[in-house]
Amino acid sequence: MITNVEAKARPRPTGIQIDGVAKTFSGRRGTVAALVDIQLRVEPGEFVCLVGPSGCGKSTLLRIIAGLVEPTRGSVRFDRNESQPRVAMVPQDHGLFPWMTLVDNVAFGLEADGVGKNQRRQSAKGLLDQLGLGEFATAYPHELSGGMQQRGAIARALLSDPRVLLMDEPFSALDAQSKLALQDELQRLWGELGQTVVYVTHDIEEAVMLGDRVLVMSGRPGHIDQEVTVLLPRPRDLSDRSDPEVKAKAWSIWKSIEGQVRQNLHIPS
Amino acid sequence: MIALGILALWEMGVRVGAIDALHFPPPTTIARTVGRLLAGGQLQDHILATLIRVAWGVGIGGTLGLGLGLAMGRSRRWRAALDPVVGALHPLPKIAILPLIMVLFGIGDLTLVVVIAAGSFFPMVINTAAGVAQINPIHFDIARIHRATKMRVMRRVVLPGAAPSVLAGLRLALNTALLITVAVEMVAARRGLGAMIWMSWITLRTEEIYVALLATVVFGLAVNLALSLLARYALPWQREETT
Repeated sequence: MITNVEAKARPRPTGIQIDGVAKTFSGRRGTVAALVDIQLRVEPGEFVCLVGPSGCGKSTLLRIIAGLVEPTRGSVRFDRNESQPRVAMVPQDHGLFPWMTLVDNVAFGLEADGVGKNQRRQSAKGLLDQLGLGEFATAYPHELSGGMQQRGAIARALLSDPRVLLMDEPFSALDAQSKLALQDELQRLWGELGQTVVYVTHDIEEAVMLGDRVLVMSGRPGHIDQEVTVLLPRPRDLSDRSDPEVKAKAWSIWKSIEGQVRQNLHIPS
Repeated sequence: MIALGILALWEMGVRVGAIDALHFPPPTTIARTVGRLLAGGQLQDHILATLIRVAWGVGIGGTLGLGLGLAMGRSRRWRAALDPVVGALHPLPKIAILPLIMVLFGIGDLTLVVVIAAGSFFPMVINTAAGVAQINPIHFDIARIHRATKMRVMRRVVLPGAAPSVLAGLRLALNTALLITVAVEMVAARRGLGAMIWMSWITLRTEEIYVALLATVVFGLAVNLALSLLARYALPWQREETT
């Protein structure tokens, strides 16, 4: 079990209610409707994946949930009506501060809580130890491999004890083998901690392997096309990749977005 | 090794009469002059005068540049307001505005410091603003998500993120300041390395010109060395260059 040195009751995961969210960007080339009419309910503790071709707005939606972007219409509400729930994000390129050591990066999440420096570092070091990264605590991010940087970013997100974990293609920049290992680890960690997770990816198999539900988005303007429930029992295993249900679901999702992907690449039909 | 070779050739050239000793006094004479001026205290006096002016000028101009650079880097409004002003004033040779500043601030050290500050300001403001602008936006996002206050963002994201550029700007500012200082001292001061160069020239004490030039070069080297050490201390995360 991953514990926090502070003896605070762990906040339970929160559900998310997304009502009629739309986002339009006005830029140099006129207005772009990035998202239209997103209606979505994420249950507490659920692992939801957003898949879709480039430009379908999935990252924009994630950023709206994170509170980084204001929706043009509609609202994002968290259960228990808090306007600022504890949310943490793991971005695509780890986002670790290059000027801080790994342990200080991981401890960053606790700074806003007014936790003292030594205590923060202790907590962070504890978490790093549990993840097997303890000996790299005083290393700088550029001294770590891509996969370890990403694990560091996940540690930072986890240490702040979020009720909702938002992940924006966290493994897409890694080599395929590291990716598999990290997917496995993420699943194991989530199994122990149980946060609500919204996971954006363009890897369809990854989405089916990790999620309880896969929401397939397509773009221009971005909207949710279909919803696929994954009934694969947990805990899941990398060997489940060859499960016929997984393959069938992944294939059908691919078929539904294939056209748009080809269109984006200007491949003639 | 090469430097010693050149010095040896120079010395010999003067001895045999091939090099004009009036305009190119031999290294031994220059060395003796250094000794004489050090013993008499004049050299230290001039160096100190220049040092104080540079310190004040870079202190004022650099701090102003840092402050405005941070503002410009973080705020589109500040950038829009100040960019044209900075761009327009930057190419103005600071040495050329000396007479104008003198009208305002009189003859004396204040005028010189104002000119030096003006010269130090521009590299600092430009580099600082650029340094802030190149910070990956994801860092601001992460800070926001972790509910960092504006103060915290400044301390933990903006300043360290911009630090490499700021230090580069400081180096430029210091070198520019030294250049300007020596130049304006030649025209408008009685103490300082520039003044020393000018006075040595008009009294035809050529060897003293060389001493002044040497002192200026050593000064510059010391400043740059100090900055390199500062960079290593302040920027521990900068990866080692592998050549």
